[in-house]
Amino acid sequence: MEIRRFDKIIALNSGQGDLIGFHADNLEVAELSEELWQTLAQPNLDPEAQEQLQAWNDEISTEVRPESPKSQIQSLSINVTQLCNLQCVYCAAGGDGTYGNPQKKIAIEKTIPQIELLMDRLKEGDRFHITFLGGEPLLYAQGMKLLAEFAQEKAKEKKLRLKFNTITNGTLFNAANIEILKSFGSNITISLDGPADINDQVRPSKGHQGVTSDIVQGIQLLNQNRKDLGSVGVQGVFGPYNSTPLKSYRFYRELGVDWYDFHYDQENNDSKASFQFTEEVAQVAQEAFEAGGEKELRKIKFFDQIFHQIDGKKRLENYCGSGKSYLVLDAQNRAFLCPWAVNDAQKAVGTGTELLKEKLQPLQKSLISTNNCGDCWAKYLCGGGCMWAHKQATGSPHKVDIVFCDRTRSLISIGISYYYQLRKAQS
Amino acid sequence: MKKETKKIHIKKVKASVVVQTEDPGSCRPLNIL
Repeated sequence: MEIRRFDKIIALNSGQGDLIGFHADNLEVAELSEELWQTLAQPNLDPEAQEQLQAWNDEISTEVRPESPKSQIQSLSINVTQLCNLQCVYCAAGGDGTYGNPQKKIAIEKTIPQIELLMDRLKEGDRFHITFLGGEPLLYAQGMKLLAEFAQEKAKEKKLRLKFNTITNGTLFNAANIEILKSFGSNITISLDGPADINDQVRPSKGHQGVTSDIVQGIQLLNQNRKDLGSVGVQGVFGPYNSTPLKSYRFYRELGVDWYDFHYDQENNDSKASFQFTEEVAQVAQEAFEAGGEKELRKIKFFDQIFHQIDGKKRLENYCGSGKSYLVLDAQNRAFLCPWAVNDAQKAVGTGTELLKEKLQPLQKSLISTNNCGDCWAKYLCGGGCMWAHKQATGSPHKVDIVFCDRTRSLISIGISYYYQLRKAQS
Repeated sequence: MKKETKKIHIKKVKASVVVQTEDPGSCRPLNIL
């Protein structure tokens, strides 16, 4: 995708005949004429093009909205266990799901007061999301049930909107565990990187056995029991060891789940593999578009989010809610800013019901500001990027990783080009 | 915007109406763990 720029106006050439304008501040999308595109490559702009571009550039949108600031933690991930039955090649949880500190079960009696503390700070109608993580959380499904029961009672009392998500490797879907997931209407995210020839290599069991066929059987069982469950989706991790999202996409579509997503490894900044990833995701998008237009494209979470942001004219100023609206509890009831930080006890921002304000305070500014996103045209759709990915590449969470940024801009460009096609067809 | 000629133009596409939802701001790529 070729890109030209006039201040806040970005011009994209999809290579398939579409010339697209994007207003980086107002999140508006437009059709550009061939002549306008051509003049953007000239050292001196055509005066009429200059006038029109300037007029659009200077428009003050009455529709675009800033991200609403968050003053409370509204999203909490809980490592109910720090054990895993798999040993994934890229595992960021200490290489084996333990974070270097195996914990069979989180202490329920210590976790309940932590949940209570955060929920008590919210007001009627607020949302509160709990994500069960591990290790493999279904190794301690009973713990999930107990915590969910408490949170449900509390949400009822406080009139909060409560949601659950369980992030699992998908190997432990049996009748008993599915009943537990149903008991709190969990949304389910299954980590699965592709068909067996890929997934068995990168996500094998601790004994180095392939588990993909077990996961597929488990998903079939889940699909027969969807009543009372939330959405079910599949996410894959891609990097130099797995560079074929298109192959994974074709596999995902056969699984009968609600959504899919494709993530590049946050700890890898190989520019060649990253570029190849974006090229393949472009093919995934094309195949999805041809197969089912907007409906099929929106099954891919990334595109669904981009379309939602552009339609809603909502600026994203924080890639994630780390320290502002989001915390992680490890299986020893320590609080962290990010799932990856659990590896390092020095990074704890609290223990039990004590949260250290001085460690949370520096994160209260928006990430696009802290990460110096400056005049990056994609900042309001990106939100400043993943601090962990930046830190792995540059040594600082607030010094951006250019490979991450290039990849994100490319993926956003793909999103804008399909958004344009879909909305133009509706006009 | 000023009236456009045929050759040079910018035509905005119309956004769809969406129901705004408050995002509690989790971690995006959680799946890696």
